[in-house]
Amino acid sequence: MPDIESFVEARGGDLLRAAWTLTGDAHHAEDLLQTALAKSLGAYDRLANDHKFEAYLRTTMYRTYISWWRRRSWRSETPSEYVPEVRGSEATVELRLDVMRALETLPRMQRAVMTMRYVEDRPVAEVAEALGISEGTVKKYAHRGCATLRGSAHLQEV
Amino acid sequence: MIDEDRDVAEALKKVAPQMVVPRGLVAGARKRRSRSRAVAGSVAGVGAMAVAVGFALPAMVSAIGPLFAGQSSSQQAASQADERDGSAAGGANPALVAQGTETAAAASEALGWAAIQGAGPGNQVVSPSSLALSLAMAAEGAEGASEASIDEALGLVGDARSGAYSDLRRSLTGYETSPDRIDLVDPPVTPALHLANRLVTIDREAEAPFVERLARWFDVPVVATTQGEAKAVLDAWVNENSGGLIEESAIEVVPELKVVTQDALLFSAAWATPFERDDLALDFDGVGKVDALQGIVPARYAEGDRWTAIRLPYDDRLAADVILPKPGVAPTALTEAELAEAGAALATAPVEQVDTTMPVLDLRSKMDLLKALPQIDLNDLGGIFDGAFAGQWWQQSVLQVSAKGTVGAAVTEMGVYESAVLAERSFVADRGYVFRVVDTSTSWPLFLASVVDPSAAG
Repeated sequence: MPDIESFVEARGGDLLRAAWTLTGDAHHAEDLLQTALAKSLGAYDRLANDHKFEAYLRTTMYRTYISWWRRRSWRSETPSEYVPEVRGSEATVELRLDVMRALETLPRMQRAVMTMRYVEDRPVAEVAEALGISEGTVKKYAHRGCATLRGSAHLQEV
Repeated sequence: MIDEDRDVAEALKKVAPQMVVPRGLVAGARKRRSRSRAVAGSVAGVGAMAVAVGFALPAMVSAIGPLFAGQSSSQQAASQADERDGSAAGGANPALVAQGTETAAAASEALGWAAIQGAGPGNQVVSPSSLALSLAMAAEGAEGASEASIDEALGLVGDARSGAYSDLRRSLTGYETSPDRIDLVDPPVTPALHLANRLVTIDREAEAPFVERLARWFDVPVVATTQGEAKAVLDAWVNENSGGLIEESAIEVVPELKVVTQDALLFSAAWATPFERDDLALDFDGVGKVDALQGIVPARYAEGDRWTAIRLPYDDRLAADVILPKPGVAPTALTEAELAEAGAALATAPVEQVDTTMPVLDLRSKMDLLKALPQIDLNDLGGIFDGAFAGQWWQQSVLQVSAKGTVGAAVTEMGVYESAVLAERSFVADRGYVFRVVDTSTSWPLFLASVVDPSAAG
């Protein structure tokens, strides 16, 4: 099994992307992933399997996000305040602002469901297990989240 | 992926930027891990008692919270389980158990603070821990929209919710003392605490799964009584479990009342360092002279944009936070996020010798929680019995702060009603009348009476 640095180098980008969708800010995303890593480091050797560790780290990251929902610094998020590699067209930038505004209106559990389900493409059962909710609730939240996002103007053009 | 959601998935993927892992992320995580070990989980606190001193004492907030400065029992159990079991992201994952209690503690404080803010002007005192446990009990019998609403308020769902609140409750058992052995006049050097709860059924039974879940998660005993006896039964328990600080139950016994849940907390602890004086006259903003405590005591000190705060220890785990808003800011204008921020800052602040002056307190409050927390939907408690809903929800609290220490008591009671059938017409036989027992299929009367004086024999 490779070391944790190689693991983070290989898989960290996707996790950061999910963290960005959760927090709407690159600095907060790094903070969230690093916090989850700090909590999970002890499990790396024990699990002895990158795939298992990734599931563990992902669960920890999402639950940290949900349980920290009262932290002030994460509440004062400003969508797209700092977005790395903004290479998209003007239309993408507008879409991003629009989607982030819509995401911001979702309760944290719903936002977590949307991210895990549609950005990370995780199956319903895995989302339910990671977030500690039933599969029915995952489907309900996904349905509501989709309805909210579809209500935003630019999404209708996608 | 369901095809019909492809538009949403595509939009989200399009806006979420591809990100490069910054150098030093893992090294930073290692540093944070060693730092967090040094403070040994002290961020996981539960507000067992919080008081906002509003109208009469407009510029001070005090929050007393048992702080998990050492490892809480659930965290210890979690680490032991961690050693035994290397399972990954499952529901019983130890790291997640600790996160569950952290979430539950934060949700309790938010709930308590919302109740204080919703209760109106004047001094308000609430026990967030007792409030949250009362709601966690109701959650076991809630269905539909009510269940979702309670889950939202408690921050967790299903067994994760039950487990987290159960763990928090059990984490305090090390302090458990019977109420008659808790000294309320001379607070003990070792903090003493008593937790109790109960399910009272009145002239009917509660559903077995509800009773079973309450027993499994919260060790709740069941007592059956009648409508005639209910008031005395409720009062006696409240009085006993609050050490006499709260004399009677807040529940009004009415015909539709069928089930009552009761939760009590009694707390008494001396300051780790007592105050030297308790007779200082303090000129309190907008009030005038009030009696105050004063002393140079070891305390943690922190400040934020709109507040300064100190943490006064009872022992190495339980402490009182006094959060003082900046001049011109009312205590209830502070947000729950600021209270959490103060807690986190105090947890890592160094201990200093602080010359502290604050009022002597003797607060008492009776809060109608249905009015203070209207956002919580308690209309469908169908798991307790068919058609059940919360008709009353009260918390009575007492908080006394002196130079010696702190004494507090709280009782939270929820009265569960049977849906009443709305009367379309009323009929009162208050004068002479005819009484008949009849077979309605044949109209053959079995008895017939003329009643002019019901008190006479004949």
